[in-house]
Amino acid sequence: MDFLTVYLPIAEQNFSALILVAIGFAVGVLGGFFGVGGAWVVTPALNIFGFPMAYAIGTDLAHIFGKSIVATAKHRKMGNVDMKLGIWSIIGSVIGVEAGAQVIMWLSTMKIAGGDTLAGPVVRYSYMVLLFGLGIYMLYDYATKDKRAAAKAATASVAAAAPKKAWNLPPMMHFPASGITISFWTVMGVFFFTGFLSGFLGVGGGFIRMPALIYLIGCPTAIAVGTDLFSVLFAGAYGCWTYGVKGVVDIVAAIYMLVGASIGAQIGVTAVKYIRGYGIRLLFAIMIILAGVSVALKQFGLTTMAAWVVMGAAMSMCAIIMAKLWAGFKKEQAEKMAH
Amino acid sequence: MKRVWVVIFNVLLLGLPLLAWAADPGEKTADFASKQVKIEGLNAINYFFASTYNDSKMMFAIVVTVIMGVVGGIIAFATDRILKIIGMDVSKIEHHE
Repeated sequence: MDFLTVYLPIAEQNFSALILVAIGFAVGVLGGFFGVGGAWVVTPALNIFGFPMAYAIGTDLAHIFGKSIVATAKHRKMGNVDMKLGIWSIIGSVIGVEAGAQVIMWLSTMKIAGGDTLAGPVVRYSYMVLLFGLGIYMLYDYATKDKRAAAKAATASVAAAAPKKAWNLPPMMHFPASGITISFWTVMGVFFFTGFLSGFLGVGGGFIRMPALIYLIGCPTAIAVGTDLFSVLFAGAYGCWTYGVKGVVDIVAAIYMLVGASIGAQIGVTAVKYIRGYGIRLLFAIMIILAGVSVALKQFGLTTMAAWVVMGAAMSMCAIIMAKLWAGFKKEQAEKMAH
Repeated sequence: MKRVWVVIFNVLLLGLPLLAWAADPGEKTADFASKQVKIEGLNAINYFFASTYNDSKMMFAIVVTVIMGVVGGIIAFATDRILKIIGMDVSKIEHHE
């Protein structure tokens, strides 16, 4: 299938356009459906398929920026942004992204055996910790959902506890739109850390920023969603730019993935309307663990098997979501015809 | 005394991100900053990207950021239209857990 092979001018290698679009598509479907970016598939997948780690992260961040514009247009939730918090999110995230990017570029100068640089194993081990940790947590969450539902029902009459503001080191900041007063360092810590993860791993960081905004900073959920989108947009733009300055963004690969991701995101977002139930989360947890397995396989030199595992898991998950979406769509059509 | 500790903590925390620059990354990333990619035999689009990359990384970064933003906007608009045409209006999405 030579006609599907494209030359990537910055990475200076031939690559299958089909794989690029498929990676983007899978990330788009998963991100659109589950509400988290799903970019944690992209960096490992690009690396498994032959991108040096710095290029994989830079290209991933470029595609995240493009995708965040699509997501912002789609959700139209920018009206829910706490602008003051949003401005601080940009400052914290930009410093964090730059710090992460600097660490990656520093690691990329250190050659190790096999022609790789230290950035490869360091990022892969970080991904293993992240993906296995997240996957196991989600499995635990799924396994204990009934117990938690019972506990929640039992305490329903008790007023909800205020978010715990663990650290009140001055200066304190007040955010009128969110109705919160919190330490400057908690705000900066959250955005710096998630920005660092973006720059270091090539992820959007929403899976940490969203819970942190709600439970650590104490944002109302609607404002947290809007502020998270706002933050990803600017952190993605800065990540795209700074990795571009460092010369490790393959824009052609990023555009192919963005096209796939945008189509996938529309399907994923639409599927939310038709697919209900907690069961799909179990599949998502398994998908995350399989992504972790693929990174481990790559680290231990089993690259072909790693490629099959990551693409097989991502495409299977997409196929399940699309099949359920189609079934739901047909059922809705049939119900409309019956009336 | 408490105020002194607050000031010390603030100064220390403000200094933390500077560690990222303290490693003199400008020198160590020279491999990438001065890298030149081949432009012979490329099609027009690839030639544009490759020559911009070779001429100035700063200009390349601006081009990449602007193009990704514009392409994202175009795709968002186009896919929205297509979905509306085939009858899947997803303009009012309500997320549920």
